[in-house]
Amino acid sequence: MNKRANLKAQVAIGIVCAILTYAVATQLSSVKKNVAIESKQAQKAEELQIEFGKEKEKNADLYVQLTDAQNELKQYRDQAADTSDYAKILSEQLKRSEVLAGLTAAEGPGIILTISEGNADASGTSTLADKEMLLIHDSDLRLVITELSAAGAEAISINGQRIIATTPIRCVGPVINVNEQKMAPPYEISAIGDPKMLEAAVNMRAGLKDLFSPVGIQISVRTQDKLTIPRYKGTVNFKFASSVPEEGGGDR
Amino acid sequence: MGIIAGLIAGLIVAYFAGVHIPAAYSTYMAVGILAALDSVCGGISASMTKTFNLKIFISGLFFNAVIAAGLVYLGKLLGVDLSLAAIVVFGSRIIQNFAIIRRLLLNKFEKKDKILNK
Repeated sequence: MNKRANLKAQVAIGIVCAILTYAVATQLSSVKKNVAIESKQAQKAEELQIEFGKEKEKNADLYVQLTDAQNELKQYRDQAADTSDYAKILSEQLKRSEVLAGLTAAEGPGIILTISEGNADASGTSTLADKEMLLIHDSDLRLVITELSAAGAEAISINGQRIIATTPIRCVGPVINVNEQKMAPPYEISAIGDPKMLEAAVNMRAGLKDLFSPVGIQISVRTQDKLTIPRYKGTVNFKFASSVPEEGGGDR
Repeated sequence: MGIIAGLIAGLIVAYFAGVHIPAAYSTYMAVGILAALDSVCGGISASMTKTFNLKIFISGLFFNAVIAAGLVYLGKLLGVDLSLAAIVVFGSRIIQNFAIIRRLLLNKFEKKDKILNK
């Protein structure tokens, strides 16, 4: 082998060696950086998790404070009602308004309605559209609430969440949010009102049962002589709405 | 000589113009490094046995690197870690080539009067 060929080999191997070390060096620094980035992300997630936990705790504390304050308020009211007839009447009206607004737990006769999603295998449906029908959507729950209200329900809750005038019911991914609380089927809807009327709203022809049963959603109703519906657990703040005094204003 | 100069040149370039490689591509880079290392070992042992051929050297480097990268990509598509195949093959070839180099060096130092030394 002559000198020229040897030189050529030296140069070629040298160039590849340069590429090799360049690659190794960049790879080493990149791997180091990537690991750092990954651990940073994990750390960030952990921090957020901790913060979330703290906020949750704070929320629970505030709720306890709220109930305390409300109990105190109730005591003052009771004391005031004891002193005069006028105050007694006012207090009665206040109680009624509070039940209507969902600010106190309500008690009375009514029904408990349970709706659960159909079983795809049992009903023999296979297409995606059919399976979609088996699901309970937010619109279904809203329909039930409306029908029960039309039948004279005075207080309604879904899985323990009191329905008030500003309650949103909407699908968020695979679950339904009621009062911003996630819930999944089966849904237990309690309603206070005339049990016969409410039951009829479910069982009558073209009623809720006729509406849901054909698409595979299971619905069952049972009447109760006495059931309790919890109060609305959030707070109601009016930022924009204020009351307008009515002409000849009767406080009914 | 060329080897040491190349090593130093590569380090200097990497130090001043280092590129960050995202985590998703680090497997490709690793396999490429193995291909280059394999070529260097092969080249050294070939030049020591006086059978070095520039065309074989360059084409081997590029084709091996491309095939290895292709294997990694295919493995990602199939859900099988095919980069292992490239790593095993390159690894065994590197070790073999180093074994050859070692024997040649031993020959060179122990039997100075006989082979491979003019």
